[in-house]
Amino acid sequence: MLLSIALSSEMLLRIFLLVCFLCPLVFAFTLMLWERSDSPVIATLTDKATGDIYEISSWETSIGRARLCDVVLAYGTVSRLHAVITRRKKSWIIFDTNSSLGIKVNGLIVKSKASLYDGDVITLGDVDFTFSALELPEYKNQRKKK
Amino acid sequence: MKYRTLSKIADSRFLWLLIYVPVLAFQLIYAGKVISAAGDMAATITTYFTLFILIETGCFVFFKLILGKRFELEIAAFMLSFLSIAITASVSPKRTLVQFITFAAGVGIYYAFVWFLKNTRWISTMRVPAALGAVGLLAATVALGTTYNGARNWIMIGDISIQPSELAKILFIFVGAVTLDKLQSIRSLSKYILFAACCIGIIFVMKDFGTALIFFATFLIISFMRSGDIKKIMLICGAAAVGAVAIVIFKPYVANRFMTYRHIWENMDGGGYQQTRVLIYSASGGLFGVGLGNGQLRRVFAATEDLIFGVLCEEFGLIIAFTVALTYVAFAFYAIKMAKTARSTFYSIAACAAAGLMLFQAALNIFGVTDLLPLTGVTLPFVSRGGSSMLSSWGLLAFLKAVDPLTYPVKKLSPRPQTDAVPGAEYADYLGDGYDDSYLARKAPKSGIYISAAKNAYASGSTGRAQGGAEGRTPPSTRSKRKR
Repeated sequence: MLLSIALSSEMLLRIFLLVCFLCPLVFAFTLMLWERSDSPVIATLTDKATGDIYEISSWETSIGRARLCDVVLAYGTVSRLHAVITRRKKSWIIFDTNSSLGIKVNGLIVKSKASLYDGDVITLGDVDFTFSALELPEYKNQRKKK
Repeated sequence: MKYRTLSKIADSRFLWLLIYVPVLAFQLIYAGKVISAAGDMAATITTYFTLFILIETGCFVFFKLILGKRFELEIAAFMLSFLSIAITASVSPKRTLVQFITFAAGVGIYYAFVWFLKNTRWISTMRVPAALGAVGLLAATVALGTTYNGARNWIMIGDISIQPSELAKILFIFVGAVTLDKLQSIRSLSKYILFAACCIGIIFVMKDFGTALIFFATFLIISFMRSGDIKKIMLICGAAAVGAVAIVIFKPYVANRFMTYRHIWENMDGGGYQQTRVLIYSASGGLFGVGLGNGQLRRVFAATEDLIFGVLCEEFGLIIAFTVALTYVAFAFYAIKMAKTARSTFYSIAACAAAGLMLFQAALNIFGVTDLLPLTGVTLPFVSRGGSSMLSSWGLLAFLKAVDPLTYPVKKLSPRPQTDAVPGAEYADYLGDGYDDSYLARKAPKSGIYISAAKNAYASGSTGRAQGGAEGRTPPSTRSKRKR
């Protein structure tokens, strides 16, 4: 009887340890795998000719005529992989990714990269867009926590 | 459950404190079991476990409770690392020191690497040195390495053995992942293919086929993510298969290493000794295990390295062993999910490659010891005894941490600089933050004209077009950094 009590207490201990092992890991897995909300819009490109607004919701956005780009522009003067707009620490930057007709920012030719600010006019090929930068939601949450 | 509710739960410090209690309970009880059976090494083992719990608790308190960062990845890694140290201390107490030191170093490397990865400019700068480092490490292993179990995979420094290929994994991924602007500019994979072929070729010369396979799988993941072209990947796989067949035909000793595959029961006391014991003792452990220290598999050669999954099954039970295996699957799904919202393509590619590498390595280890695949002698990440493996696992985890956009704080956008236009500049080739006009001097052949024109403009106090030049775009801090 003592042996059976000892064995059952040993089994109870193993079950307890199993629960102690599983609980944190299952909790961690749930948080890791649960779907988070979609990325909010953090910038926009407005086609000056047509008024179309292209939303930018990722920190690196490819722009071009190719369908695999994040912002697809159906203009013949825009290259297939024309540019990449990137949000860095404190600024937005536009990169010319070997486009045929180049990029201009506020009328100035961009050789490889240039900073972008809210209200800048970007010319891709011969198409003008107005760039609008929005404050990131994570920044608003950081300020709220402080 | 709605996202916002789960988000509040994830950020709830009180709930995390509650979750940490069973973590401590698990670790303290098992530590007590190991210490009570350690004999004359009890004091030493107690020190290691105490320091382990202090490091883990310190990280939890600082990063989770004080800073409020996410801690899911770390809690999983700490639990797996604890299993590694507990089993090592139970089976080979004298080897626990190295395992603990590499665990502590691994945690340090993890946080340092996460900090380093926050700046994509540093990453771009270090890619070439990292490539040279990876090839250098592997070449050094071929030149200076010691052959052990048929593979020339270790460099001995006194009594310490280092496996450079484990560290080369981190560099391999670091070199392969790129930001989106580089991805779109450099569409050809040829340089990366050359680098990968170099690394994998050297590992083949070392006769470490398991590691070569891991590098190849990682190369496929990175190549697919960079090119998006499945046909190219299938072509590469086809070429690799042809190469493998050629190797087996012309180098029969390679095939001899896999003679016992699917024939382990016919060679129970020969080539199939390890796999048969793993299968027998894993089953005897049942769902809850026979208890730490009560297993038989620990007496088999390489129990704490290649056969660690079998030891987990026998002593901790099948449920815990499968949960360990599921952890690597969870890492992979996590990387895929987070890749969509990462701040840079670099993080997406690196995280998927790192998670894929860990999952593939775990699969090779688990399926190898259970005879579903040939035994290749690779370690189980975080859990197998091995300092280099522990360092490499924590280093790879840093890529998974960096892919989460919440890891790094967001800075407010800098306002548009209020400076006058500088004549003579035909380009707007500067960086928005941290502008340095010596950058222009290095990059642009006309910088001499630019800077002298800028000087003239500043001296005269005039703005506007330079003679014969287009209107320039003003760098943000030109006035403060202009050469005088």
